[in-house]
Amino acid sequence: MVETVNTVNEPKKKRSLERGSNIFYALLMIFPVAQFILFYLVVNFKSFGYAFMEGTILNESRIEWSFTLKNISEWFTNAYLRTRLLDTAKMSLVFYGIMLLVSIPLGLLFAYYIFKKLPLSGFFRIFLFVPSIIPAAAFVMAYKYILNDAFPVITEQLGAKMPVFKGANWSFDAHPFGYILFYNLYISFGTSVLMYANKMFDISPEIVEAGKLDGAVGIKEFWHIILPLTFPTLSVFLVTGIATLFTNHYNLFMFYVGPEFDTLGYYLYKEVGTTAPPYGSEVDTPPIAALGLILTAIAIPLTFGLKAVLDKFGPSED
Amino acid sequence: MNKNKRLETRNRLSPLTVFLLAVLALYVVVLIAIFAWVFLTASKSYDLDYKTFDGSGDSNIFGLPKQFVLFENIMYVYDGFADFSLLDMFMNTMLYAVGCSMSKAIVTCIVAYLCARYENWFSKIIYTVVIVTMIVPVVGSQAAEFQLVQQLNFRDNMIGMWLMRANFLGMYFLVFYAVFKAMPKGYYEAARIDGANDFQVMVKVALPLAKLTFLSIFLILFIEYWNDYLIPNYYLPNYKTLSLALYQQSRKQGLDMTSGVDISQVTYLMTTALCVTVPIVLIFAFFSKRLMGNMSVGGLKG
Repeated sequence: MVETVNTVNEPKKKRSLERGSNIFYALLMIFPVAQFILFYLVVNFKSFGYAFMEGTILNESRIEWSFTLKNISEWFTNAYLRTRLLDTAKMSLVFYGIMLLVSIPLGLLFAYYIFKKLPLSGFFRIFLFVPSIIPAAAFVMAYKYILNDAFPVITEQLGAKMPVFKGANWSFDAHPFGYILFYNLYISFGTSVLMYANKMFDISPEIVEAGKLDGAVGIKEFWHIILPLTFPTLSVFLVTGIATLFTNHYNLFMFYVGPEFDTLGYYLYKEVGTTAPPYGSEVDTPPIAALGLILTAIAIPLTFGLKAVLDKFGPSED
Repeated sequence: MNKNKRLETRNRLSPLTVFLLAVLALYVVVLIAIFAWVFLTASKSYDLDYKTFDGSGDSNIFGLPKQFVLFENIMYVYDGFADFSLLDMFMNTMLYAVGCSMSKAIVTCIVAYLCARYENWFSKIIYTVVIVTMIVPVVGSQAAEFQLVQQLNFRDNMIGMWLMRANFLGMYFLVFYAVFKAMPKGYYEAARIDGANDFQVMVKVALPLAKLTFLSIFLILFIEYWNDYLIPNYYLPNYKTLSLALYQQSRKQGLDMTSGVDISQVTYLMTTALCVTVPIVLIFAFFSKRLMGNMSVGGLKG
């Protein structure tokens, strides 16, 4: 009798449990989904909409919006905006290119040093990571102050002893671009070196040993064995790195240098500031949203294009 | 044994590795030199160690402090060197960093748990959304976001900031997802047989098993928000954080201008820099293994 009741109640109990699970699931999902809709979907739709709108302030609380393509076309037809866009794009490309050509190879070599467990490799692993977590506000300020106030004293003292240094100006103000670049390179190794090294540690020792027997040691070992096997990680960095071409600020805010050093990311950031009250308002948003749309339209095919190229032509793990 | 090890190391040294050793050693020397210099400057007295405006007096830019006044400098900064007291700035920074990292980590962890544990169509959508938003680089929507934040009255509102950060997007979702997926289903089933409901299974079984991953992600986010000055600059203008106050004060004191300008406040600026940096260095010192050891491709692992 009891068994019969249990059998009858079993599907009912299961359904009740399922319903309970669904309610629990839905309740916990409400906030994250609402947050995503508001701060991702609404923001991006609004941004897209702003790109094609022009606002006219009617009174303190009312703005009249109308459709326009001017926000997009202005970036190409207005001489000032076009020059500004080209200059910032050029600076972004220069920063990105140099970081790509110097930071990635050097990061891979540092990771190789750690992988080979050469002298002090554990110590270097920690020290390579530290600059990436130090607050930029403090680090940039100290760095800039040393370059502007301590370096002139060094060159003055060296100049008194060695004519080569006489009159040399090594201050930050004399070479801002070089020093900004050096700083960003200096702090760029933390996460990437760790990830490259971790990927290298996953390489089977048998493969490295077999390579050694075939004469792959030193640079040959790095080039023919380690690099191809680390390539998947490198590929992730390269593909996701495309976005940084459009978003990276390179700590320019902290360096407080002139607009000639603006990158696309920093320029966009500064422009957002112009929409902030009391000096700016919502009607100043459309041109910036239009620039964002233009950059996104370039970034998306570039990212997927690079991914396709790397998948097709990159070294194979086999 | 040691001799063999030395021989092995010598064999592994090639021109390439010797070159790398030299570069890495230089890298470390630069870092230590900057740290030491900041510490020494923060310990100096401007009156005793630096030139006065007319250029008279000693200039002790490199030497040891003539009088060690780090504590006095900290007290001076504490009392309101940068228009706000150090304690106020510290509290604002803690509110911002702890609140934002906690809200982000909690929401990400819970959504990842739900997607891993309840394999329904909605979970699949959420998973796909995370992947797509990671791959597709949408840039330049900050202006629209800034307007939305103002319309919601979230600007200059700390709770608004936490809500804004409480999203599940990004690689940490994948990290939590992998952790929850790897948990044997038997754990959940056993708890259900013992009478636990969905909430109890999550709180008493799943979340405790992911606590180390949670700690790692929380710490990484905390460091990120502690160091952030760009977002507070626009979104929290009246909640001065340490990084932002330091920046504003350094500009005010003319450190951003050409060399040779008034640097009379430099010792206090370096003291503030030290106060901003020390908490992060301490966190790193205590949790370096956890922070660095868990790094893997695509982020962290449990």
